[in-house]
Amino acid sequence: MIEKNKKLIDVTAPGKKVVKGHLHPLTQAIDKTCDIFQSMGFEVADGPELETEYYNFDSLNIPANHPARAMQDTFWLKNPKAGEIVITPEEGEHKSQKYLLRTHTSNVQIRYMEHNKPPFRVISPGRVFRMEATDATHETQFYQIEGLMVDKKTNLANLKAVVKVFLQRFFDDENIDIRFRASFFPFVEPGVEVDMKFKGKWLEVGGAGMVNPKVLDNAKLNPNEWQGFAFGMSVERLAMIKHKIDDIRLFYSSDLRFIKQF
Amino acid sequence: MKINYSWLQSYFDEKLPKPEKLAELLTMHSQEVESVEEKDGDYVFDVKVLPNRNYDFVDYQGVIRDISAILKIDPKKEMLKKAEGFTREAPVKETDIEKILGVKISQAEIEDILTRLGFVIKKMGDTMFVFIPDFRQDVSTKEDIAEEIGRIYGYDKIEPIIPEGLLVPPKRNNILFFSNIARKILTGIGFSEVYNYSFAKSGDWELQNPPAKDKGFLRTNLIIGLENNVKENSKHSKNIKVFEIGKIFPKSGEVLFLGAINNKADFYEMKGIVDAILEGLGMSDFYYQESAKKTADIRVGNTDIGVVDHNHFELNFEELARLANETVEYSPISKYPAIVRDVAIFVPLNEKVDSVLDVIENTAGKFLVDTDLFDIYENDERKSLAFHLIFQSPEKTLTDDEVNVIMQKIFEAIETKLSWEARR
Repeated sequence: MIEKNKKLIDVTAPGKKVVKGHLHPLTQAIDKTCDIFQSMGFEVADGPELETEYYNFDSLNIPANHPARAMQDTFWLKNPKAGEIVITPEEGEHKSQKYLLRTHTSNVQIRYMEHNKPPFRVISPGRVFRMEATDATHETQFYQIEGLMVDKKTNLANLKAVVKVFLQRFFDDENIDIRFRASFFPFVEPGVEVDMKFKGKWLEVGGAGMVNPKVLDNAKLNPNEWQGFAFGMSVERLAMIKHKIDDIRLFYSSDLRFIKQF
Repeated sequence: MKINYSWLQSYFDEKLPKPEKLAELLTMHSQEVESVEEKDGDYVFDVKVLPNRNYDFVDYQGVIRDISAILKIDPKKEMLKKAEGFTREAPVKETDIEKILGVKISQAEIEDILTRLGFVIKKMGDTMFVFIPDFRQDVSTKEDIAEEIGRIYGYDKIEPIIPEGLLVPPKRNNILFFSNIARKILTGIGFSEVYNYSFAKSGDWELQNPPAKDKGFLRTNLIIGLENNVKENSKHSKNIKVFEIGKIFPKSGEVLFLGAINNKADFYEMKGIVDAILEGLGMSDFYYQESAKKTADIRVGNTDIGVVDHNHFELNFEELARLANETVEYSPISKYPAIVRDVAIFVPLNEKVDSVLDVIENTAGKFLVDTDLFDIYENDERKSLAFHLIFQSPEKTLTDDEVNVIMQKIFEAIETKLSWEARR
């Protein structure tokens, strides 16, 4: 029975359009990452994108002529003309003031450790730069998420647990397993590659290891008292796996036909 | 580095695992085998040697020692080069390896691994002195030794252990916290978020090795990128509303900025959005003033916090996060009804709304709780500003007579200005 005074409503007619904005998929991935790590007691820390050679390389046990520098092709800035740039120099003459665009978020490790007292649990998402030819999997800029935990007895087994729990939560999949492969990064020792078993396939998702005592020493921490782990992952890589995106360049296309899907 | 499977086999009496299996073992415990190619009845391993192992892989002997340790098999003795000397020693305490790796490995296994890799061990009390052969220039500390043991033992066998720790909530990151509030406000009113490149055609910081001709500098604003986004997206839709939160690089280094553009908006619409964002961040004491370069500067006290131009705005987000304020104090809602009066005022074209509001608000007294400019009309000579004036008392019901007295004062104040006229 239709009531007499009731307006006839066609429930199959389309609803009125509401214009709603969309967050960039990288913002969504970074937010989710930060939420997971903050729930595990990690503080979110920032660091500069325009960085000095000291914080990007020297302090991380990557001295000049070290083969590891060749692994990361760096964007260097022309040295500012005296008086033109008013950036405040860091204290300490031994610290190289040559400017570059950071090649990883590991610079935040040192900067954080210099200004805080351990124990630390820090997560640092941010934009990084590499001088390389762009294609579907390479970009001149991308986002990294860097993790650092320093305590009296933080070990490699702890690193495995933290990374595994993070990936399980990020992909909302309790079946995710991880494995460590032998590898080398100058700022960690032992150093490992992290692979994730996702829907039956092993995928490389990042690098990790125990913070090299030389790095702790550079940050004025006593390596006999403190030890910890660090890891780094590409946010684009995580987002690409999660959303089945096949071209990294889409993230920087600003194409709303892409962004409005998220 | 290319290595033949048959060459590897020639070092061992025992049969090595099948090529694919051996490649996997090397990838997990030694160096990554990028491909295995079958060629003339043999298999060629393409091994990606990491920079720290270049030295002991240059004569291919490193891979033999690694295989010997991984599989626990002896190579043919006469074929393996001996160390010419031991340049360093690393003292390792019994507890050190477990402390780093988080797993207990038996002393026998530790010694087997290290010996097969070419190290020589001397035990003294609870300390093991590991003598490092000259072909392992990459090893010097106990952490290096832990890595040698860990990788050969197998990281796979290390069970994950959730770290212990104090239950201390992490410090909040204000930039992240407040930028998420701004993002919610902007997406709520239909703006989508973009990420543009940090590079630009011109700027204060020049790259030594630019990625492209038109990307020789670091960007000094967000708006050029956003305007370009409007242009590109206009091929597919009409109204483009986008924003970006990102670093810009002025002479002073780098600053986090928030920029937004709406190609169909005017100054007043963008100003309204800035109001919404700043109010959403708990700010109230900001104001707009005429700008040398753009339409308006946004200021708090003597600090510039951004600009609004005809269809876009840019805000210094680091200043916003510093000035933002989460504490909201409740002010009681009046139990008594409000009285609304409308007034329209003619003023010269160059007169500012602010100066009209000043006169009204300074005259009306405490019962005027809100003013709402609901219409602006301009002709060639002057403009008309129409306001709703809302009167309310927290203590009593206002009478028409009381409000009439206030309105009379307002009209009189307006008419002391010669070029103004109130329409009653």
